[in-house]
Amino acid sequence: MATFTLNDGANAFDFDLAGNVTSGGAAAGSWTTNRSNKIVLTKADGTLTIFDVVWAFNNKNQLTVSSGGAAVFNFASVAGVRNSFATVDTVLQVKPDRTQSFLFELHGDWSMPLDSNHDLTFTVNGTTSTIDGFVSDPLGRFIYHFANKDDLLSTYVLGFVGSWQSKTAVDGTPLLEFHYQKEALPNGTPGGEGVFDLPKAVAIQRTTNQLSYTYSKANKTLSINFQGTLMVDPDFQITYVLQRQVSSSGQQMVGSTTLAFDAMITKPNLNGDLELTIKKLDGTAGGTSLTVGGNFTGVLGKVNLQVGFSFTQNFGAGNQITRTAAFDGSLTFPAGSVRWTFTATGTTIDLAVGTDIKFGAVSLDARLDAQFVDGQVAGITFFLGVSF
Amino acid sequence: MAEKRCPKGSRRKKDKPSLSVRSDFARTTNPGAKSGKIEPIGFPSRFVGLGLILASVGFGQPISCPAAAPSGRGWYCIQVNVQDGKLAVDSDLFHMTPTFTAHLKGITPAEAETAIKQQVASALATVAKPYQVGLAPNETDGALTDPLTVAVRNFTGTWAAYTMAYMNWMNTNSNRNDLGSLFDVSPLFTGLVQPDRVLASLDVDANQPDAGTGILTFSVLDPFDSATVTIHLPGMVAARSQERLKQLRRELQPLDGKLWSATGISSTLSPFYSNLMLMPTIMVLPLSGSIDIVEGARLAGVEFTAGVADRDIDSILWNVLTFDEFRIAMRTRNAWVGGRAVAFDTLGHAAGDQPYVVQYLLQEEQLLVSQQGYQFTLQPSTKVNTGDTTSQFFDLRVDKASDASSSSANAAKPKANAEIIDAKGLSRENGQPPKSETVGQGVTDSDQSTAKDKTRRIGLTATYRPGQAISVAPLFQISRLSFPLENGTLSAQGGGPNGNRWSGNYFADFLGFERVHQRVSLRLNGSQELNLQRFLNGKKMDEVQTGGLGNVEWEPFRDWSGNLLRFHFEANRSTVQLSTNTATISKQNLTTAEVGALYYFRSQESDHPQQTSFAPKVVMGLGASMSETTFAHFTLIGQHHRALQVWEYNLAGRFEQATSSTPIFEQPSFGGADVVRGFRADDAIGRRLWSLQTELLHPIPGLDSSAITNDMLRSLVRGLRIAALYDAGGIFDTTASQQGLRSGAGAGLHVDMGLAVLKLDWAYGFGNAATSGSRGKFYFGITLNVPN
Repeated sequence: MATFTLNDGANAFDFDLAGNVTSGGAAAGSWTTNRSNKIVLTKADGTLTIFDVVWAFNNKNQLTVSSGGAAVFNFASVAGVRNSFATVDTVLQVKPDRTQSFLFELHGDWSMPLDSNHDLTFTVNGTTSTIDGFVSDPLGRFIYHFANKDDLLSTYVLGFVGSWQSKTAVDGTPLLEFHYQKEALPNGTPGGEGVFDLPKAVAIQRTTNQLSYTYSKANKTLSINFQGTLMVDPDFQITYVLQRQVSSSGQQMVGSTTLAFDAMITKPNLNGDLELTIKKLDGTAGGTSLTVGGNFTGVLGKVNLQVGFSFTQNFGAGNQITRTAAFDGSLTFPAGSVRWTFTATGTTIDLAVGTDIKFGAVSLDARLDAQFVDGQVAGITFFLGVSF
Repeated sequence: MAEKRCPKGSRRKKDKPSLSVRSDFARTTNPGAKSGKIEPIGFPSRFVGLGLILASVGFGQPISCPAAAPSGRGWYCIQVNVQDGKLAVDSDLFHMTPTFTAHLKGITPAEAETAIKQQVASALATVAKPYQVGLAPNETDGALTDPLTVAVRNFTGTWAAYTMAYMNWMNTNSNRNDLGSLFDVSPLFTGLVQPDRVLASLDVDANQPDAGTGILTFSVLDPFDSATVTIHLPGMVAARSQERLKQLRRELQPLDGKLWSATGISSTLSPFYSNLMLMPTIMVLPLSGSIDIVEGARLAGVEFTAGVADRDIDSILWNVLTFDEFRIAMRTRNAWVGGRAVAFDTLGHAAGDQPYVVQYLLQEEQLLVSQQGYQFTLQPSTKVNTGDTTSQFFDLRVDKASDASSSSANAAKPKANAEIIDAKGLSRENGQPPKSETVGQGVTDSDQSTAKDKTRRIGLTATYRPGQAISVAPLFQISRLSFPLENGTLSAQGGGPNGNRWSGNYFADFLGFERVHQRVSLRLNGSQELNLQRFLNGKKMDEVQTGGLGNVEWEPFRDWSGNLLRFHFEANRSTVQLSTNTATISKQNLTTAEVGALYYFRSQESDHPQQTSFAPKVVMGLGASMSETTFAHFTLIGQHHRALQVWEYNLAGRFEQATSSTPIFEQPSFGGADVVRGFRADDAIGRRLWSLQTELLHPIPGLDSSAITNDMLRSLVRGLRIAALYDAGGIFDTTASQQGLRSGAGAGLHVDMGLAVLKLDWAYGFGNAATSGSRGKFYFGITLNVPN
């Protein structure tokens, strides 16, 4: 069994990966870590010996321990032995040998620097390590993946429990941050909330109309694909109600929250997808758009037009929700054009007379005599008779 | 994401199978597997030796199948190999928890294990070849023909050997993805962890895919349990959800003890929601152990366009609101009428608890409103509904029924409902009391709308009576006459050879409605109706009735918690002539007064919906002239329909009693579609009659409408029912016919189209019939599902 050695004065103790400690070849007790991340040797007589050590991940994503400025042990260095890592309430649980039951805990602070690397940092007793991996999940959970760079088949994941919140950058970039619950303090009081910021803008997947966070790292395209219910209010506020997500063991990993982004319509027509530009904090149009895939529908009244935008969301292969967002507005007829004005925002779109502008399956022609059938109740068609 | 402990018993070396398996560890089903050993599954025999050799190299370490998950779920652990470049199950280990096995019902643990294994194998077959996911950004699979690519593309062998082949391939292009980062829930196994997987019992634990060993571990959900499954009703206020949850759990009970199945859950709930007349979105999320149901779209409010005359707003609301909603709307009228829109959350509904969009009810309301000369469409609501952010909200936008070229929503234009108008301008569908003929109220010059008002209709009605004749009668109608009363309708109809020869009808509805807020209508009619081949006094003869009537109808409430009450009074003066082909038998004046009522009840949001109606009436001969007799003829008709889970039944009862002086042509007539099938009308004439009609309906077994893409055809197929029917009745104090009991039995094919039912029945009569001809008779008709 692989070991590492720590000295307590003149006494040298050998610590193995199964939690046993020997000294001079004789059993000396067992070891673990305490709340201060120090190694604690519990001798057979019950007495404790504390070793002040430094924990860090090296640049190969390998966990190391050092003492007195000298490296003591690299847990990934033992041939044929694989570690495992897991997070429980942000406490890192380490199994030096994943086939063994022995584990110890490391208590530290996690963060994700607001850059494009999507690295994860772990600070233990003031020593900060950078874990070079990626956050990715098909269900919108915050799961961080990394690998031992000396053995790329040795992969690990760290899951964090919390909830997603939305925010908009000053320049109108729609952003997400993950709020996770930190471990309780030693005195039992809640440990507060930590936040992982995702540095890039979120988007809506055109094919599923689900929110998605996509980025590239090391030639890989990675993404967090969310599951939730998308809505677009009459004033173009985009809301997205995230579904609760669990781990495979049934534990909640993401709570249900509502994300919201204020947007405005800037596209020059009512054709194709619904492209909404996220507002800056000052209320003007920002530089990022969210595009909802679907079709415009509408009902042309006497002088009023209600535009609808129908879209379908996919929740996997078997589940779909189709909704229609509605926008009231009015038509005016300046010379040579038809002007559509959204009631809620006052936004205007000029539609050229004589140009077919598709509203769903039918077209609005120059006479403005198109009819639309979205949301219609079917008549009783087998009754004989016509109206004229 | 705690690493799961590897049970001692689950470790093994593939080349030295020495696993000691706990008793609750199910073993592989691979034939020939020895007790407790993990054996290769489906591994081609020619590769077994190679596989073992490679395994001894690549799997020198014990395999870490997890122990029970923290939640206590069981698990299914597989080690993959590669077959023709794709992942396949090489060996496996199944762990059932005691809870899992204890909760299984109707399926043995072995069957459950087999089913789960099959699901995993099937799901694994959908996973892409790993190298395809690992291609560099500028690479395409088809363009690569080099030996290393061919090697991984067609690789067959153990996972360990594949990892080496993959590494060799990956190293030739630094932009290719490493296998360790591929072999994860994302991107390689994304399809296996979708929340709705039909592979419902399983999911990949985010912590488990292990590229080093090729081990995947699926957690196994406990068997479905209707009592504990999490059901979310995000579109329902809490006050209502408790009752609905009870109903849903009861409906789901048949699935207890079975493996999670998204399809099974959806199909189990389908009849329940069909009975509620809702079209929910059901999202089965096995991964979360939950079912999310958005029961349907809701109505936010009613809007009136400029084309709707102010005076018609109240009467339209009478037709589209419940009685309780209507009363509130009238009390608060001043608050909303200026905006020409009323919101349901001001009509006694909490925000988020507005009424559902129920197509069947909307069709009925559409029919009523169309008779007022209006139509409505459902428009996505622009109102923000804070009480329910999940459901789709619609506004019911009422507009004038107008020309297609200038109106909104022409698809909803009302069709002329000619079939409900008989020769007297009345509806006598299926023996029911007269249907109210609400016809359009005014659009005047003051209307701002430029839409062309459709005030004229033509239509056609056809009727077939066994043993008599078919009747075909065209209709012409003009609506919205302002003279002599507001909102009048004038219609004319004529046809033959049976039934209506000619008729003229004037009808005015919602008289004085602004003051009384109860519906009163007036109908005046003149007509001649021919009833061919009646069988009276032992002879076939034709009855011609010529005359006029006045009818006043009063509806004090409509849809008051599903109840409707209506009274009518009718005065009729006519001449009735009976004749054969060669001679006139009699010609007699008839002056009658009729008083009747209709009580109708329809259950609301019931999982076993029912409709019940009672319609009593008395027709009194007034003896207005010396040649007329005084008489009385009492009729009571009761009907009941109920839908059970799959079955439906109809009950109809009729009792008639006439005084001895009742003219023979006014006496109760035995036989026909509404009395006892298997007999034609007039198979006995008497003064006292009773009958009971029963129908048991069932969808056509094996007929699945879900695959039909055409909406109309799908609706027709979905509404198809086969019917078994049995009628019985008696007639007494007969005239020139034999009294006593008779019965009829038969079968039919019905098409339930929501608002109406098309019926084709055949019945064989048992008992004495006054008329000759076959004892088996066909009946075809349309029965309205609304009070008429």
